[in-house]
Amino acid sequence: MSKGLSFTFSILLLLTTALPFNSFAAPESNQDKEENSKASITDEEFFEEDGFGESEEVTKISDPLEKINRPVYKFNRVIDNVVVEPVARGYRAAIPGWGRERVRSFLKNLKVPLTLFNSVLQGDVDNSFHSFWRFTINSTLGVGGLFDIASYGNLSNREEDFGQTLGVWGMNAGPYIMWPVLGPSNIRDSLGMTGDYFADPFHYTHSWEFEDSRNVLTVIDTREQFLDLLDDIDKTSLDPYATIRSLYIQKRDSDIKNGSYTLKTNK
Amino acid sequence: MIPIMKRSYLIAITICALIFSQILPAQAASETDQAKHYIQQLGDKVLVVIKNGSNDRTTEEKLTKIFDQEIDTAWIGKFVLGRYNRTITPQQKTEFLKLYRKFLLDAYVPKFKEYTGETFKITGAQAGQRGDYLVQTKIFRPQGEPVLVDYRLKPAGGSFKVIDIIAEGVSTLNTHRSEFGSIIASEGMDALNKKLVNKVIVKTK
Repeated sequence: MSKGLSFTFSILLLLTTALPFNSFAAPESNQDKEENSKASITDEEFFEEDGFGESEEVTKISDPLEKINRPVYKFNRVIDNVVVEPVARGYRAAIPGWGRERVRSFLKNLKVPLTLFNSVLQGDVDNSFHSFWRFTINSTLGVGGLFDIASYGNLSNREEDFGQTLGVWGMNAGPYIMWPVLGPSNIRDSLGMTGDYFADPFHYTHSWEFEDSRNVLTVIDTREQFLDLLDDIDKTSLDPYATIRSLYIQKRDSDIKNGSYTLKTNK
Repeated sequence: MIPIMKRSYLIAITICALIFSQILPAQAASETDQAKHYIQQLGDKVLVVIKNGSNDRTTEEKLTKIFDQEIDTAWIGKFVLGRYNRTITPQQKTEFLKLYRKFLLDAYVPKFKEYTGETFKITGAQAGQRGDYLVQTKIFRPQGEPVLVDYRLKPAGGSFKVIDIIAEGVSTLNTHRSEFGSIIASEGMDALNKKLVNKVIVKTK
């Protein structure tokens, strides 16, 4: 009894004395430093800096190919105006929302095996399991992926591609590239796209007719999804090429970090 | 003897757990909680204005008022100018800041007006290194998947001001900084102001 009590007391004593050292002292010295740097840096000085501690990919955009990229962007927009956008608008007008959602759901389900593959490569256990069960449930109960049943069971997953995997592995994005027809990319994502092309099981199991129709549907579905965003950019942006470049780089950076926009914190 | 010892171990561990779980987060949470509270109130205020709006014009006027009160457009403008703050003339800067406020209003107020069936939930908050705070929210739409929107805040006079809106990982500050910076670098500050004038005038027509 007395042994037990003294143990309790010694723990308590340890806690009350050690706690300030362990948990307050260390952050405090840090915080002091923060306070000092905060106090010494004025807004004016801060505006000259790179921002709130985002990665360099976001704050220092690398676009040495701009002289080639800009004409390619213009070319892409012409193709878009003539072919892709009208088709996407027609699709939105002709097919009701419910139908479009089925198509999107179906296409997204086809991408889940790739997500599973990449989640495993990234060592992301949660997302690997989620993708596996998502694909199993939606392909069967969800009638070949037409219905996203899995999300009702909170089995949502993030899409992972090989570009993100390379990012997780530590590869830099490299220069921004505007590919003809395919659109915005960078070195890392171009490699990623190639990797995914060969890693996609449907590439081997299904006919080229299936693959072609899937690609055409994907383009229409994606463009329909971007109708409002691109309209908005055209309406508000002073330089749509620069806006799209910035959006692409930030979005990919955030995808690699799995959507969590994190501040540099004190800890 | 042994069971009692076991019990005291248990007590000790429980006390440890209690102390660690109660004291430590409480110390760090108070400011981020205030930041969360601020966004909750702001969101509710905007939703009330949208739902009770008698007509389009009064709704827009009210939203503009909230916008001017809660969003530090001058600070955002200076951040967006970045290192060019130093090299441009005071007149250019004053003109830019005036135009930029209108530019942001035109970009955001119509978007907020579209919010009708949406609800939002605060999912987290963090304190940043620069004395800034990030409040993370999820907006649930009647159709489609929820959208992640984060707000960056800076403390201002006992409360906060919004200095950035980050939608799906894309920050308005960073987007405008890189877009405007590219224009200033290639065409100059006057060209940027001229482009802004054109946008703002076209939109008000």
